[in-house]
Amino acid sequence: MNEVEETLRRTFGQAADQAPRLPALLPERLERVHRRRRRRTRVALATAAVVLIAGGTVAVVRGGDTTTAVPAAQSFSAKPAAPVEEVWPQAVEKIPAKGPGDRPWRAAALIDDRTAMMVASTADAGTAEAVYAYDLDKGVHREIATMPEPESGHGFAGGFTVGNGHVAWWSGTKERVAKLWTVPVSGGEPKLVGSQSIKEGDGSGIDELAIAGDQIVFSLYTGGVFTVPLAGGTVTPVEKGAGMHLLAWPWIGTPGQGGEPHGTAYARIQNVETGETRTSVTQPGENVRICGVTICLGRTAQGEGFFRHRDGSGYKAVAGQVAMMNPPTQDRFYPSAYGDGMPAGVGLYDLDTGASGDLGIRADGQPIPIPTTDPTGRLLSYPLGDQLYLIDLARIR
Amino acid sequence: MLEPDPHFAEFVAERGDALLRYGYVLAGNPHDAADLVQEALLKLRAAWPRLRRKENAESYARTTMARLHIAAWRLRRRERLVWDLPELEHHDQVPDGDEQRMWQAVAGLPRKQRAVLVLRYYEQLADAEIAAVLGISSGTVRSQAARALDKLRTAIPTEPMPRGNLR
Repeated sequence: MNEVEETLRRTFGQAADQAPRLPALLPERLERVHRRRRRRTRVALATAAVVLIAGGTVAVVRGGDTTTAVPAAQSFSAKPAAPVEEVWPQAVEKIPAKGPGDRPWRAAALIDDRTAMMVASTADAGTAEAVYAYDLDKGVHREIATMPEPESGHGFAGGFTVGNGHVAWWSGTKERVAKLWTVPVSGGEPKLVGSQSIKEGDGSGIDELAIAGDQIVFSLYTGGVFTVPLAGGTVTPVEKGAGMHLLAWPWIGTPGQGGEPHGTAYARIQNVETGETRTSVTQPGENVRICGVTICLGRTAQGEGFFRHRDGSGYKAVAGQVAMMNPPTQDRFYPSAYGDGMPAGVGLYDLDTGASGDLGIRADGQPIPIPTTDPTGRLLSYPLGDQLYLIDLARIR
Repeated sequence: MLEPDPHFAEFVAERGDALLRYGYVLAGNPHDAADLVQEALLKLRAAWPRLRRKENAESYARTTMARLHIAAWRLRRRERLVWDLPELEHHDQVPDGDEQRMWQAVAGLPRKQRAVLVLRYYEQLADAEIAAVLGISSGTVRSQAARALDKLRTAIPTEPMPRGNLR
């Protein structure tokens, strides 16, 4: 170290001692500001992708509001040998990343085998503006509905899902009421079918929403499963749904993913039609992060990642770290980051066959976005350059 | 109501002052330092439930602070400071002449160069680690550091000025 460097080191060390002290009540104040921000942004987070940040932090982000974290030497999944379209050509479709009016759109779900439901957003704020049906064979779109103006007090729309000939979603209002909407897939005016107070808890709103038969089923971030008829009517709590979260209808479970760390997400689940309950098995020392209906993701005390059946059987070690906000879709597929020390890209992995395909997403030293599936777990979609990739996981046999 | 996280509160109580010292070295003044710490802690608080390894919390906060600092994030600030600093006992000078001149010279550096120097000589990080923290290449770290050191060499005489009593 030369003299300038030596002086610099001394200067910084002495300067640090001149720093002020933090006030004693800072943690409480930070909690207050945190809650305020969270309320404001949570409603719009429904459609965000998972972002894996170097060093093992996973955060949900919206738009450009990313979180940064410490990069640390860490192993990730193995790099797939080939692009996903070569590994599973029958499952991958590419369509333009922008829809009508040059607005970005995303594939929110599949209406049928060859039709995707698209949600177009404003380019800047990412506010959902319209829903379309996109014919994958012909490459043409048809408008299903335009969203009610957020200015009219309905707030931002999210949680889009499709089923039984209807599209459903919800929007949150400033008064902290979640409004549930439907429109026939054939097109029409959005219809307000019910509302639910989200004043309890932190006001985050609805965490899961699906169509089951002639009803919308949804759960709140703070817990509680409810139904409302697609045709409109009363929001009704599901029996034994108090404090529970929708997993995959008719399965509901607890704890949910929101809030503070609280052990395995969906550790205890119940089939509300048959009454069957299942609880996940955890061995001492290991950390089971999340379970689906059948499969759980965890880490051993030695830090080895694994997938395992909820009942403790079928242990499968996985190399490196898997970042998942949702259980493996169809108890089989999971996207994960690969890279050496730092995440370099994202692959799609098949637990059953061990096959994997490269999604083409690159990190470039930045937090890396990992796409999530639609609520049914069938469709994985993400933008890449000026194209939108759609992977229909049901076509992988 | 969402319950405050006791572990987060503990972390802030234990490590907050160390983060503020680091923020002060990074930013060069107590107000920006306090802003940096607050913003980084709020980001940390938001990420807290998903931080799998809490031992990374401090590195997370420090990385966030460095990145916020070079991104000139104040332009985009969403919240006012949650605390005021009038009561702080702050002495605005670094004791010795050499260090004081250096402190003033460092204040003239661009943000990125200053951040590189702080990470190298205060945080004692290797260039590869600095590159990872700031999200830039190791080559950029080296060139930024070299440029900054050149400026400091020019600003500060290498040999102490003779001050009387010389034989």
